[in-house]
Amino acid sequence: MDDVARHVRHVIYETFADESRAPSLAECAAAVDISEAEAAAAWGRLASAHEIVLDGDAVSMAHPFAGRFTAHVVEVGLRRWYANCAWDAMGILGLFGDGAYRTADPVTGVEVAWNVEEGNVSPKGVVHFLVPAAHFWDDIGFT
Amino acid sequence: MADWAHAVGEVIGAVVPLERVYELGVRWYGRRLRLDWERPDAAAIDAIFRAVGLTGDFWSSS
Repeated sequence: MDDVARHVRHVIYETFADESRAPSLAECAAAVDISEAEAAAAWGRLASAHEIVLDGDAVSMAHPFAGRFTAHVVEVGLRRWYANCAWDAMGILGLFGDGAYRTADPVTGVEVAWNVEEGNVSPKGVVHFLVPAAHFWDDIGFT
Repeated sequence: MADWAHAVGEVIGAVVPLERVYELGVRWYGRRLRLDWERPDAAAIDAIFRAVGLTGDFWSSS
């Protein structure tokens, strides 16, 4: 990964971590002191390397963070993030500490929630992985 | 799980306890916020899966 893209990626992750949202292209450009055209090119390289996912002019995913509303909500204290899936929700809890993961039961639509406390998850639950690892990026939105 | 698969018309892939998914999340994303994070290669990805007990063809990244 080239240095410009690496720093742009860092801005994206810091913004998600600190503000629970994706930065705009202009914010990335300003933070790294490059032009918006250079920042857009860096976004393109990051997307090609499967390090972010773009949706038009926005960062849709920078795993484990989702740059849009999803059914996978993580809460740590008063902070809240949207994750792309259960795996990512657990990843966010791993990054930020004890908290809760809320989502909807895929069959009934009823809200279900788990808590993580000192690395222990309760109540018990399972995650279904539909797509084999070798094909995760064939359609990352579906995965 | 069978109810879900029937409801959405999908086959069941791998079913993993949530506590193991948490371990996977910690290992997978633990360094992701660092400036010097490097995307792991296939061997490193497979090693992460093995470390949390996820083995077999489903978890082979290549």
